[in-house]
Amino acid sequence: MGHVWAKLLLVGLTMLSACGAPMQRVDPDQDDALGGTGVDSADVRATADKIARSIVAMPTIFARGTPYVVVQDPQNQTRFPINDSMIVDRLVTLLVQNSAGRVQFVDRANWELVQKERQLKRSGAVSVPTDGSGQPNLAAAPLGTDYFLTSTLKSLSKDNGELNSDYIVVTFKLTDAETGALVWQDDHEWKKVGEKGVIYR
Amino acid sequence: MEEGGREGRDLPLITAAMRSGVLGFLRRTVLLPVACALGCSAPGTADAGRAWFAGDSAGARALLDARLAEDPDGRALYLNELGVLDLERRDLAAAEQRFGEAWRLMESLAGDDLDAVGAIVGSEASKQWRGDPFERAMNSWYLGLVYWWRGVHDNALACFKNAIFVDSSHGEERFDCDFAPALFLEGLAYRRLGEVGMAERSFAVARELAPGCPALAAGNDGNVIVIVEVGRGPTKVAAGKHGELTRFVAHPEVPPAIELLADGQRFGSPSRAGDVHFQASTRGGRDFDSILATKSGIKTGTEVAGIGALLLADDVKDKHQGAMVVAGAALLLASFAVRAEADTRHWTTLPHEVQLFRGTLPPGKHRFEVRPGAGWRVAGPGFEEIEVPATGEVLVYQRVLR
Repeated sequence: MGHVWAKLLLVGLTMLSACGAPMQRVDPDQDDALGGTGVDSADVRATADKIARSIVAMPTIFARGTPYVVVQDPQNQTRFPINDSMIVDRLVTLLVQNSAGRVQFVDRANWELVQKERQLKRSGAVSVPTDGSGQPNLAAAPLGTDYFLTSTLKSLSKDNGELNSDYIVVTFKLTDAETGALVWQDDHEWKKVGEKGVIYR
Repeated sequence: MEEGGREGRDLPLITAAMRSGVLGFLRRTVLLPVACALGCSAPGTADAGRAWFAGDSAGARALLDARLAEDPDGRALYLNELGVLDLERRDLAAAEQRFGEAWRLMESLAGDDLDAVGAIVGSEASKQWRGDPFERAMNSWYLGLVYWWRGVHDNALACFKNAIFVDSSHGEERFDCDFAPALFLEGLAYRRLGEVGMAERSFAVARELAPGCPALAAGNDGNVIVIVEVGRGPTKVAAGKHGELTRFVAHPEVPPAIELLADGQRFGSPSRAGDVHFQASTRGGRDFDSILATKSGIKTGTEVAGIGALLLADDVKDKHQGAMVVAGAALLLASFAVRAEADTRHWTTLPHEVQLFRGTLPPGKHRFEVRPGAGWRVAGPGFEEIEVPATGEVLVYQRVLR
């Protein structure tokens, strides 16, 4: 009998000790136990997923063939300092991985690198790529874009001393780079309420 | 690939968690609260603050680095103090890292259960330090300035907005933000992002809060904005019979005038736009204050009862005398064990007030100096070369100490 109690005690203590585990891998689509009402991994992933689906489901931008898009860094107007480029990085990754080339992106973040390489090639300092017939291929100009994809994060925040809430909307716009026409807009929103611990009120 | 198409690395590793050990569990759940109840409390930063105000930055840094390594509960406090020292030597990368980490710690106000048990049963100072609202606001203020100087204007805006939010939001929204510098910088950040209407609203509120500050006046569109943080911020001290109350002691000394010089010529003088002591001392009471008041009452009650029992022990018959002495001693011990004192850890390197100046210089490089009056000094480089842009504005910062 004593043996059974000892085992139960050991199992109980081991299970309880898991409460303070130093590290656990968790699902990034789930809220974690740390609390806070800011932007979490689940928000980044859900936003990118929704917006990627919205873009490929929009026939207008494919009417003139494969659209080329320059993605601008988001503008963060919430009260949370975050690395907001994560959202558009994730969005571009999803579109590149899943749209089978239906949407093309122009990498303006590496513009200076591209310019430098073009100069090196034309000065003879580095080798020049060749076309199918083995002739030097330097005809291509840097890509212009058909659309700019811009985004803004905005928030409404409230606090009553015991609870605080943050409503956040991430709005995306696709603007025609030639005419300035707004050809598409979509958003993703969420609201979180957090309770402060009694020792911090 | 495993369950539900997720890769193995995404699955929770329960087995690793189970390995943390029974001893660790006992230490966290039993020994720590007991130890706290018997008197452990985290060290503050008063000594580091004194060293810094005395001009010994290296000594202050050494003290804070040591605390950072040994006391995880005060991490946010030490990071904030070190962030101020990083600003002094214009190490923006380090300041961003420290204020940013402190921001994340201070923003997480849920608190864990063991922390709560420790703070309620034992000393309040055994909990993780996350600062008072004015300290959270000042952390956001500094992080916003650092983001601004590093060119991340949207995150700068986020920080100034958060400074305003945490300064105004507690207690059923009874308190509006009254820290004009944060509103002014919020306006600048909005304008930098092209939100002109929002910028004007922020500027207007800042003007209302500090009508005597010419830097905030309508029509002052100078391209050089100077932030001078002056003096020593409030000291948090314990009050009440058992130290269950907190009070902020002001250090209102400021130099009579501070001169700003550009290329050796007088450029102007900053004037007060924000008062940190006012921010600290005008918030309402805390919910936790009632817990401390109860603990103080229990402490007084057990103390009185214990002394009473010991006094009565003399007068009762011999056969009850032993029991009365034991009861009296137990009550006194219980009184001794109750830790009713409030947590007085506070951010010591904050300024007493924030002064602002706004003026115009021709675009290009200028040699800039902040010259306080006799008996005062600047913390940081005596001269700085600033680059005034052709459009927009440059933000200059200096700290003035006695």
